[in-house]
Formats: sequence, structure tokens, C-alpha cells
Amino acid sequence: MSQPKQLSWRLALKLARREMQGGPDGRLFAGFRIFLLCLVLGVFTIAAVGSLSASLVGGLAAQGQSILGGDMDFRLVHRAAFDDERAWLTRHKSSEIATMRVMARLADEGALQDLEAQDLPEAMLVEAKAVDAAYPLYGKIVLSGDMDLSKAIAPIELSQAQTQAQTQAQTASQKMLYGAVAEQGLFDRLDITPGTELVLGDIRVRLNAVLVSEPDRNAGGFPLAPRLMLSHQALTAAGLLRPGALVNYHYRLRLPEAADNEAVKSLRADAQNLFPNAGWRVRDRSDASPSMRRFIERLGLFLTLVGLTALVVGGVGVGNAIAAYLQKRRETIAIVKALGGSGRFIFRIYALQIGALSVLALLVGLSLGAAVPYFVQAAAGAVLPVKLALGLYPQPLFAAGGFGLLAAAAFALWPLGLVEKTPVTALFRADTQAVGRPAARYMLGIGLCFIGLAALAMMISERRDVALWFGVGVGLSYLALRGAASLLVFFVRRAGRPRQPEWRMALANIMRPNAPVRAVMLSIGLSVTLLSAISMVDGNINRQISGDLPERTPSFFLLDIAPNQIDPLMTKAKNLADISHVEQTAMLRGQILSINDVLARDIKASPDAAWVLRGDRGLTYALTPPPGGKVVEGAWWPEDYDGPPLVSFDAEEAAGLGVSIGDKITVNILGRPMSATVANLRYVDWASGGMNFVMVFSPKPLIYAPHTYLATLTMAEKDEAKLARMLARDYPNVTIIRVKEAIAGMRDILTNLGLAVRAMSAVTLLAGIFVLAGAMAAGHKARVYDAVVMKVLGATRRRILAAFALEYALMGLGAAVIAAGAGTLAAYALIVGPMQAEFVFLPLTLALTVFGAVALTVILGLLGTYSALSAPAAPVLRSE
Amino acid sequence: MIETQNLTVTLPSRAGEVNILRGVDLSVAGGETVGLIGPSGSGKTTLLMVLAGLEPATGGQVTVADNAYQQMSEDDLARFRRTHIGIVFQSFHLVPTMTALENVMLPLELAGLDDAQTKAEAMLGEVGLAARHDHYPAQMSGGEQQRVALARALVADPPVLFADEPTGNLDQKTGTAIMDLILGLAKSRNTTLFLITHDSALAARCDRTLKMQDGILLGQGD
Repeated sequence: MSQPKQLSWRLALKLARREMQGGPDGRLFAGFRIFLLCLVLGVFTIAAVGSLSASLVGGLAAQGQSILGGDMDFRLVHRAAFDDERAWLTRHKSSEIATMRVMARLADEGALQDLEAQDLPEAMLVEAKAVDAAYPLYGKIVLSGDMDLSKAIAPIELSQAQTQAQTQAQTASQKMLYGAVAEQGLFDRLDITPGTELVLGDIRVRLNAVLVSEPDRNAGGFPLAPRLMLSHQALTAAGLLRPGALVNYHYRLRLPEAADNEAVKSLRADAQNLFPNAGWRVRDRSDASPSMRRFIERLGLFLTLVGLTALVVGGVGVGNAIAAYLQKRRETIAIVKALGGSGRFIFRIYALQIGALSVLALLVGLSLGAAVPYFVQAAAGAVLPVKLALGLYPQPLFAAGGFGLLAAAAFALWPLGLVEKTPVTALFRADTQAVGRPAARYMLGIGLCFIGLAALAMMISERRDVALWFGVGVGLSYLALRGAASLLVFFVRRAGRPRQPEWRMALANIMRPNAPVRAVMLSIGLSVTLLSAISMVDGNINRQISGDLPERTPSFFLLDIAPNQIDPLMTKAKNLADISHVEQTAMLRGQILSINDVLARDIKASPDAAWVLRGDRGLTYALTPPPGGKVVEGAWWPEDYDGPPLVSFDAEEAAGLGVSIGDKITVNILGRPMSATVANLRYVDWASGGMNFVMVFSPKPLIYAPHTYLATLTMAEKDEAKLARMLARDYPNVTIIRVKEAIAGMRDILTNLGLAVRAMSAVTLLAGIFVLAGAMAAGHKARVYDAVVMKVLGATRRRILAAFALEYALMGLGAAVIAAGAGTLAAYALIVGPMQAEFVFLPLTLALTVFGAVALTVILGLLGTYSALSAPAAPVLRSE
Repeated sequence: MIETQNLTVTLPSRAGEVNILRGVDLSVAGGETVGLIGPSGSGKTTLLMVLAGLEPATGGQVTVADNAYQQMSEDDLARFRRTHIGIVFQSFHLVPTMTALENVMLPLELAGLDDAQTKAEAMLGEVGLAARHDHYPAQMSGGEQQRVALARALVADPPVLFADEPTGNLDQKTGTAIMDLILGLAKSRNTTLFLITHDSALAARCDRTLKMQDGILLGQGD
């Protein structure tokens, strides 16, 4: 007898093709709509987020020169460049810019009196920017009425008559009038039009035009207030550039056309070598706005992970669709097996079909995803912070394709593996009992696919820990929901047989073989886990920033208070208003140059602590530990300490930077390096809303450096406007940040971010809905049968509907409760962990999420089965 | 008990309209047993479906127990069936997720009766299944399932029992036993029985036999 021939992949492909041609009904994708939808949606989402993020980062790089305002930017805090530094910088074509936050108030006394009558503050925070004639080196400033910038910000010659008139109304120092331009936001907030005059420190400025477009607006991160642009001459005359004032001086260079990135690099190295203690932060065109790039990349990563959840949710639908398809093919499978086809051969036939469909779904998803940046540029290009660099970005597409392929394989292998294990006899019987698990090699394959998904997520993430924890969270939620589905069935079995037929039918439907309980629990459960986590985090952030904790949130932050102003200002403030709490401290800004002589750029910091080394940080000195700053290691210096500089470091950031007691920290302050020894580590509560510093130094020698004071005032709301008016008039150099306004600005940003995150969560929910729809479609025949038999026995449609609704409500409730628990746990971990804030349990938010999930399950379930109610009885009764 | 006048059922099809029932006039007295025979596709089952209120007539009138179907909505018909009609199908049509007892209790519970369990247990006893209360349909033989279906059809004591090929899926011996049971119970309860069958011998056991061909009731059968 000859050896039986091994059945080849080629024959499997032939049979697979024959089956895919559709059989007698000729419908190629019959039964695979949900499969395709789930896979396309997941892959599309990840590809779209990745492509959009890459286009934005590409746009940042392509427009690096105009975003940065030059090929290179050297920024100094507190001080202008020394002569030797300036000489070196101005060898190239350069532009000097100074930026600071200042208060602007209306110059018109009549308008001020109106504001006072209405008890409104009369000064407003602006982001002032003094520019020279060379500005901008790249890009174009656009002003309303096509005005020229140099003309718009030039000093204004006043006629004799005007000067006399103003002398009567203004103080002597405010006689000078300068031109300025400002963003529309300032005009809107003050309800003014071009031509209006404002007081800025010791000068008056006339707003000659609206600043429509500023090419380098996004170089400095998110602005707190509207921009006001003026000349250096005006800012100097305003008297705001006091020693220690928080001013950023930027020196931008325009290099010759031929200067490539290597030339930029070498210039950067020269700057470091020639002026090692300058303490400037150098940026170049290749990474013009690292904060925005980081933001885009992190948001992109987060949304990709959310998209991955959608893919996992969709995976449940993929698995169900394949199981339902193979169930329909039982007869074919049985015949092929009976004719000598091995289990593995049958696996190949169907694996090839599923593989082909998966590739089709991937191609559709990837194509749609890659097209998203083009669509966004066309539809919303005008409101984007940068012009997208449109193109095909292979990296995010490969990642999305990889995720799609691995997810499809992970969820397809279970039902495909079962085909091999199922005996011919079982295939011929109308038996619906489960047949256990697939063979070990398929289980191994499934495990490898999930490990591959996690590995790919970590590979594309800058923050591998985030990807890892996200993966762990999704995995645990998945297992918890699977367990919960089994638990629900277990409890329903033990619940006995209720008397009401609707209840009995509902419970019986949950217990029956092939019931959609697992699909519903997983699809709705995973979506709701994500939604409840996001709602909880969102609710907590809103609670933190909206001042629900009034005792912790000051009314005002006052910056740039000169040392000789601090005592009279505080006395005046206390006399004027009912102030409940005051904090004041000296403040300077400085940049960490090195730790134990290792340069800051060479230090391997944990991702959570890296910010301490980026740019300059606020720092202070103190005789005693600051309020709430509990020393956890080491000891505070004696009150009469007079030795070499010591520093107290934030314990958590110290751990992230590898800093311990006795280490040497070198900081650049006002262009001079200063080294201090770490004397102690202390706990800092960053969520307290008070004044916090990573580094607090022993008083000497900082006490002798030019610096200003920072103060917070906590007071009754009724006095806030009165105090703001006094400060604006009597201390024009002091910057007043009204916490409520800053919070409102922050809330706007967070609301927009929240919208993006919610939109992505909606994708996950959509995937859940697809899965649910698939599960409903798979069980439709059984439901029609149930409905018809119930009708025959005298049940009205309302009662049948009630039975279905009960079934869905029980499943939805089971899923929602587990999901709410998992979501709360994830939110807790996120808030207490990386966000370092106090977690507040929000029962109403959670209850609404649970209610929404149950309602969604019931509504979707009933929509899916409503047609079963109206199905005519006769055909069903005849055909059975 | 059952009256039809000029009953017609016409269904659309690709080849044009198909007349399933063509003017059926029928009158069945209370307590009477009627057997309807006829070849496949003659319209027997459609007539039964219309009489049970499970399929609407295209024309004509149906009155069962003095209730004219034309005026009744789908839900009215469902409520009417609870108390007036029992049906036994060839394929049993039990609810697979419910036990024998629960299947039998179902029409009583839908009618809101308190003693559903007691009555259902008694009814299962009458069909000889006192020991199989807790068995699911899949755990019972075809004959046993049909007994459960009969118990379910009669438990609410309806004045009318429709039976559509009740022995069609059973072997001859079991079929005969089931027919004995149906006829015996119908007689003992004075239930009007309308039986559809291919088997003229079975039909002959009824008080009257009717024959149907091409949607027309031909009157007394063979």
C-alpha cells in the first residue's frame, strides 16, 4: 500500500478559493461584515492617529525655522546676553527678543471708572514680546489692515495739544506713548478696538492693529494670556526689566543657506565650549518646539493605545464572526474530514480564507488611515498649530498593520483551532456543546500573538512603562470580564427558576449554549472600562482645577515683586481685603548644569523626573523648611547656617535623577554657576496649589543675587477685583495671575483634549457596538424561534420584548459593574501614580457610566432583536 | 366552534401571485374531531395557521369560539390563543432552554394563573410524564417531546386543539400511542380537534374527514 500523500497548501488554497466564491448564494462577504468592520475600524484608528501625529511632527520639523524664529535660538532667563556672548551671537544675522508676562490696563480713566463701578478688575495679564527690526528672521507677521510691524510698534509722536491734555490725566511717567499690536483675544477680553490705549508699567501703548499671525507663536509651549508685541525701547521704558524680573531673552540666528544640520550642531558645541556657564537653553530648527513635539507624540501614543483597545474589543467580534462562519460550514468540514481531509488540512483551508479577509481589512484600514492627514489638512488646516507635512509615513502604517494582523490572529486562532479538534461525528450532529480548548500549539500561537501586541506597543512608545501598564490593564480587564461572564452564568444557574416567564426566559437565554453573554460582557465591558477610567480621571482633574478644594487654592499668584515692594504691598493688601492666607518667597530661575559634575544632558533620568533637567526651574532660598515640605531624609540647616551652599531637593524627583544626600548640584543662576551640596530630601505636595520648588537653597549667597518675590494671596472672592485694581495701579510692574482665570484657560485646553480622548473612546465603543451587533445577528434565528413559540402560547409582543430587555439588562449590568470597578482602579492608579494627585471617588460619574452602559446594551440588544418580534410565525413553525 | 367563509390566502412570488387557499368554507362544531388530509402543498398547514391566528388571511372571514379574527390585532390574537387554542406541531416546538414542566407551565403563566405548577404537573401526569418534569427537551425522545407538547397545548383547557402532523416525526408505534392520547384527551375534555395528517387511517379515527387539494376544501375525504 502506498503512503498517503500529504495534503498540500496548494490544495487548501484551491478549496479555500472555491468556498470563498460564495457557494449557491454567491455572497462573498456573507457573515464577515462584522469581522471586516471590527478589523478595519481598529486598524484605521491606529493608522490615522499615527499618520496624523507623524504629519504634525513632520510639519514641526519642516517649518522648524519659522516656528523657532530662526535656525537657532539661545534663551537666557533674567538677564540679557553679556557683551562677549552678544558679540559671538551677532556674527550671524540675528534678532533679539524679550518676553515676559505683564499686566496691561486701560488708559482711559472713564473706562477705568466704569470697571470700578462694576467691581471688575481693570488689568489683564498679557504675554509681552519686545522685538527688534530684524524680527522675524523667518516667516511673516500678519497684522490687520496689512499694517507693517515696524510702523505698528514705533513710538508715537504726540502733538503739543495731545501732550498737554494727557499731562492732566496721566502721571508723569506715563506720558510716553508707544505703538503695539495684540492678539484678538486681548481686544475681545477688554472689549476694545484698534486705536485703544493701554498702560503697561510706566508707559502707555496704543494698540495699532490686531496680531493675526505670529510665525513663532508655538515655540514656547501653551500661552497663558494673549500676546502683546512692542518694541525693545517700549519695554525698557516701561520699567519692567528690573533685576530678577522674570524675563526671557531670546537670541535668534539666521544662518547662511549653506549651513546644514552639521553646521548647526557644531555651532551648538562652540556655544557650549566658549560659554560653558552661560546657562542658556539652545534650540535649533530640527526640534523647534520640543514641548509641542513631546505633546503630540504623547497624545499620539495615548490615542494609539486607545485605538489598540478598540482593536482588542473588535477582536472579540472577529472571534465570534469566525466561530459563526465555521458553525455554518460544519457540513462542509464534516464532508472534507470524512473524505480524508486531516484536521490540519481543514485548518489551512479556513486559515487561508480568514488570512485573505484580514489582509483585505488591513489594506482598507491602512489606506483610510493614511488618508486622514490629507482630510484634516483640507477640513481643519486653518486651525492647526502647524501646517501638516503631508506624505505617506511607513512607520505608523507598519505599526497599525502589525497590530491588526496580530489581533486578528490572536482572536481567530481559537475558533480555527477548534475546527481541527472537532470530530466528524460531532460535526454532523446538531450539537451545540462546546468542545473544549484548541490544541496546545494554537494556545501557544494565541499567547505569542498577545505578547507580540504588547511588544509592538512598547516598541513604538517613548514611555514603555505606560504601554506596559496599559497592556496589563487591558489584559486584566479582559480576563476579569471573561471571568465575570462565567460568574454571571454561574449565579444565574444558582438563582433558581423564577415564576415570571419573562424572567425565566431571560435567565434561560443567558445560560443557554452559544449565548451572547461573553461577547456582550467583553465588548461592552472593555469599552466601558476605558470610558469609566477616562470619566473618572476627567472628573478628578476638573475637581482639582475648578477649586472644589478652596482652602488649598489661592486667589492670586503675584510675580516679579521687587524686594523693596514686598512688605508695603502685603500691608496694603491686608488693609484693603479680607485675606485669609498669605505665602511669600524669594524666587529666581536657574538651570541645573550638572549633578556630581555629570552634565545635565548626560544624566539618565527617569521619564517622570526628566523635566527637572529641561530648561530653567524656579528656585528659592529659605532659613526654615517651607510649609508642608516634610524632610524625609537628612536634616535641615540651622537657622544661623553660614557655610557653603546647601540645597534641599524634592525626594521623588531626586529618586528619578539618582540624587542622594551629599551629592553636588551645580546650577546656573544669572549666568553664573553655583554649586551646592544636597543636605536633605523633602516631600513636596505638587497638587497643593501652593508654592513648591524642587530646590530650596540655604540663604547665602542667593540672598545677595538680584531676585524678585513670589506671593500667593487667598481671600474672599468679593474683594478680589478691588485688590486687583489696587495692585494694577500701585504696583504696575507686578504680574498678577488670577488663579480662576488661569484655571479657566487650563480647563479650555483640557476640555479640548478631553474631546479628543472621548472621540477616541467613542471608537472603542463603536467597536463594542459592532461586536454586540454581530453577537445579536448570530443569535437572531434562536430569538425569532423563541418569539414565535412564545407568541403561539399567547405571549404579547410587549412581554417578549420585556424578556429580551431583561436578558440584555442583566448582561449589561454585569459588564458595567465589572468595567466600572476596573475603570476606577485604572483611574486611581493613574491619578495617585503618575499624576501624583489625590484621588476622589466620584459615585455620580460612575453611576452615570454604569447606567449608560446598561441602557446602551438594552437599546442595542432590542434594536438587534426587534425584528424577531415581527417575524411571521408560520414560516418558522413550518421549517422547524 | 370554527367557522370560515370564502377564506383565501394569496402569497406573492417571483412568478406572480400564488393562491394557497381559494375560498375555503368550513364549519366545525364544538367538541367535534375533524381530520384534514391532502397532498403536500395543498394548503393544509396554511389553513391551520390561519385558523390558529398565526397567519393572516388575504380574504374571507374566520371565527373561532365566536371571535372574528378580522377585528383582532396580533397581540389580541396572542391573548385569545392563551385561553382558547392549543396547538401541537409535527416538530414539537418546545422551548429548548426550559424543562418539560416549565414548558407546560408557560401558557398558564402567560395567562397569569397562580396554580400553574400544580396544573402543569397534573397535565404531565395525564400524558404519562410525571417522572420527567425536570428534563430538558434535548434529554427526551421524540415521543416524549410530543407528549410534553400535547400537555402544553391542553393544560389551559382550551376549547380548540389544532394538531399539525403530530405523528409525522415519530415511528409508527409511538405515533399510534400519541394519536390515542390526543383523541382520548380531546374526547374526555370535549375539546374540538382539528387534525392535519397525510395518513387517511389516522384521519378516519376522527368524527369527520375533510380533503384538501390545491387550496380548495373538497368536502368528505376518502
